Amino acid sequence: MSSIRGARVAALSAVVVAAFALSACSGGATDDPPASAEQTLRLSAQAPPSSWAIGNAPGGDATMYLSVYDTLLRTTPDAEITEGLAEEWEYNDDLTELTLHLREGQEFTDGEPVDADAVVASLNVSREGPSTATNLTAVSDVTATDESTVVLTLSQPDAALLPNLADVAGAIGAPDVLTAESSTLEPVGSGPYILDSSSVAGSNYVLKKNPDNWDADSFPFETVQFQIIADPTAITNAMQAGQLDWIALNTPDQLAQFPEPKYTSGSNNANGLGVLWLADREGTIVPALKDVRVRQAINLAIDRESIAEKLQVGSLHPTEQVVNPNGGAWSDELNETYSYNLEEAKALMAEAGYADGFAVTMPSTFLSTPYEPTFSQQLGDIGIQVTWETVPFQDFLTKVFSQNYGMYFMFNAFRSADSVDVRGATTAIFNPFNSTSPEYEALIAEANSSESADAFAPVNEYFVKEAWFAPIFYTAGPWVASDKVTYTPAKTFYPSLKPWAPAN
Amino acid sequence: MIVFLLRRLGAGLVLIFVVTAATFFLTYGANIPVARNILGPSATQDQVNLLNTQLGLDQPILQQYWTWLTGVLTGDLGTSYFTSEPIASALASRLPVTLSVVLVASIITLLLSTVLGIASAARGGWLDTLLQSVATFSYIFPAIVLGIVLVYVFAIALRLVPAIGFVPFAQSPVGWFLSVILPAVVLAIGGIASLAAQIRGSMIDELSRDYIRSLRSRGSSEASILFRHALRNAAGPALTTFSLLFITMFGSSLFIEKIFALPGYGTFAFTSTIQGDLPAMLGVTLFSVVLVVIVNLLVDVLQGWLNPKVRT
Repeated sequence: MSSIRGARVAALSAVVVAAFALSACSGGATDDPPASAEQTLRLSAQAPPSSWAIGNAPGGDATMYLSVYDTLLRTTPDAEITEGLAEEWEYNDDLTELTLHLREGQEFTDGEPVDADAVVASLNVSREGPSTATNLTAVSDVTATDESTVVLTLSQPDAALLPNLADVAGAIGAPDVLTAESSTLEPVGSGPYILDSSSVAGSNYVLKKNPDNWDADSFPFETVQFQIIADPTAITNAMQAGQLDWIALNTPDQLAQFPEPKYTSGSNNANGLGVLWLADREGTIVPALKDVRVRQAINLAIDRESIAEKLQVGSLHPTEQVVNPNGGAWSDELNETYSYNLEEAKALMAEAGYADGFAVTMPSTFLSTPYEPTFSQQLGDIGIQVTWETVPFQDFLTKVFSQNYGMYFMFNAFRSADSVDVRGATTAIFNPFNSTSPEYEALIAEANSSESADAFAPVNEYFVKEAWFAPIFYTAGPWVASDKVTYTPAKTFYPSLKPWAPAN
Repeated sequence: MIVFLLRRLGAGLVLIFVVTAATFFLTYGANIPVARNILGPSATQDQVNLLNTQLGLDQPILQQYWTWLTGVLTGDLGTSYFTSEPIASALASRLPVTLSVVLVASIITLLLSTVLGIASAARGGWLDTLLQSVATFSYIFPAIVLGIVLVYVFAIALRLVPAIGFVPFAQSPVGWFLSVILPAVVLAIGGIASLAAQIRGSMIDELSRDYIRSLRSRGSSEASILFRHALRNAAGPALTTFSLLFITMFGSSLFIEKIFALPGYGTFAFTSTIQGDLPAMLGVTLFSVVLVVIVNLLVDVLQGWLNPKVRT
């Protein structure tokens, strides 16, 4: 018996010793690669692309998608529109015709030329694509006038068109596979990277540099790997174990886990915002919200400073505007319109005939739960009794869109231009009651007809004065990078791999 | 025996049909807003309608079921709404991950629980008390806590193994072993206790039987009595427990894969359920039922091999 037991123990010991010996021979499981341009940039994403097909780009982060597909235009890290596949572009006098002059000599990775016909074919698919059609609604016609010139005819001026052509709506795919089933998994573009066949859909995406892209020199990494990791703790563990080169963190206190000089860290610029969307401005199901004084009272009753300070120190910043603080429409002055003032809020409620307040039901999801006690208390201070109705997140968007709630809390992401952010705040689930006004329509028409950087400032001012929304905070969370890479945050939404570079 | 197995196989096929049909009508009938969830909050209703048409979700539910059923019979399980992968290849790429972890966990479970069970039954006394205490502790200790501790010690502090991810065996056998060993240990820890207790109980029963006394009186060695005679007879109930454990480990892999960010079957099942990825949910259901049927059939065959009385 003892000899048998001894043999077992010896066998188990041998397995353990062998495992660790092999681990030592292989140089350790997580040895970092040498720092050089040949190194792989290792990033994570919380969800895989639902489809790579043109017109089907997923919502949210599009960095992977726009690394494989080049766009007609691009944005700079400072949020300016710059050249892409189109080297030059110009509008006619009344901004209803956009002429794009294409770069010559570009090819898709299947060898076909990126010419005017290919651009027309791609844009026509995008005009009908589920994720891009809305961004191109102003485009009534797309024509190739010669091999390298494309003219877009607009039904009305649209200031969001140029930024949209620098985003997924302006992505250009190879015409032969535009609508082929294979394009959902095997994109054929001409972007700075090519989706490698070693990728495993849903879990691991490997991008190899496309040396033929006109801007290849701006992308130093030969290989970029995206691992799909949904769990935030697993992402942090992977960074600590040396398996990732860069991650975004939720709160600054997490930075303590990543000491210098092994890691570098910093803060992103504003990338999203949390808002109490006062959607029922027509008073359809919450009549009180039709009164601007009630909406203003809600804005005055919210103590944004204390919410930003207590709930996520350092990564939330109070805001009263739905536009990007780095954009032309933003106003520092406007951001003090509704400084916390309970007495003034109560007076406005009384003036509007709601001295005793009113009851309102809001949807409760995992996104709102951290803020719900605060909202209940602060709105309760002016007599608004909030009932939180638990809604599974997968039903949340539909229930909101179906006009079930007069007001609700939800995040939205900033894109690359005021025109896009303003449209975002007034469409889809952020405007389920299709609320508008003659003043707003006039202001938006004027803004769309201007090419000025602050064209949307009057629209933003109207939003604030009329209290269309109750913005609470914008988010600008911390990031951490390994000592193998550097990272330079962009000023606004920037779906590109350009911010990363090898540390050497 | 063959008639018995054919009868079990027929029952298994009926089970597969009923469970998948029920799942189909429960999920597709639930009106999960798939297109809205794919496109996100900024999509208009027109965009949502367009995607619903693309996905075929605007068709009558019976027609959708017929499309799915005829597809399954030709080996086409549909396409994931959220990754565009064919479901069959999605399952095929994820199963090796989960199977790797479950197989290594099974080996650990079998080895340790057999050693613990036999040692407890054969030696008794303080060793039995100690081993039972260890087994009970491993049973009640939350595996998720153990997982977090192991990740911190072996992946983050010592960097001996990766904290996340999976390396295919064909790519690197060493990398494969290092990527599955921690998840396998965490997955095995709870099962060792119950299987060891089962083996211990069965072995004590066997060791108290008359034929064991006869063997001892004839001078058979203790090793021969334990392993050739008692263990073989005690293995039947243990095998049933192990087959249940194997299925349970597949279910538990969901949590383990989440901790270690393994792109396995559990993660796939979890994500598809949360997102409302209906074809993926059905694929997972279909595979799970088939797995249960196969494991039960295999156990029947093994029981027959171990115990001739079952074959009749």
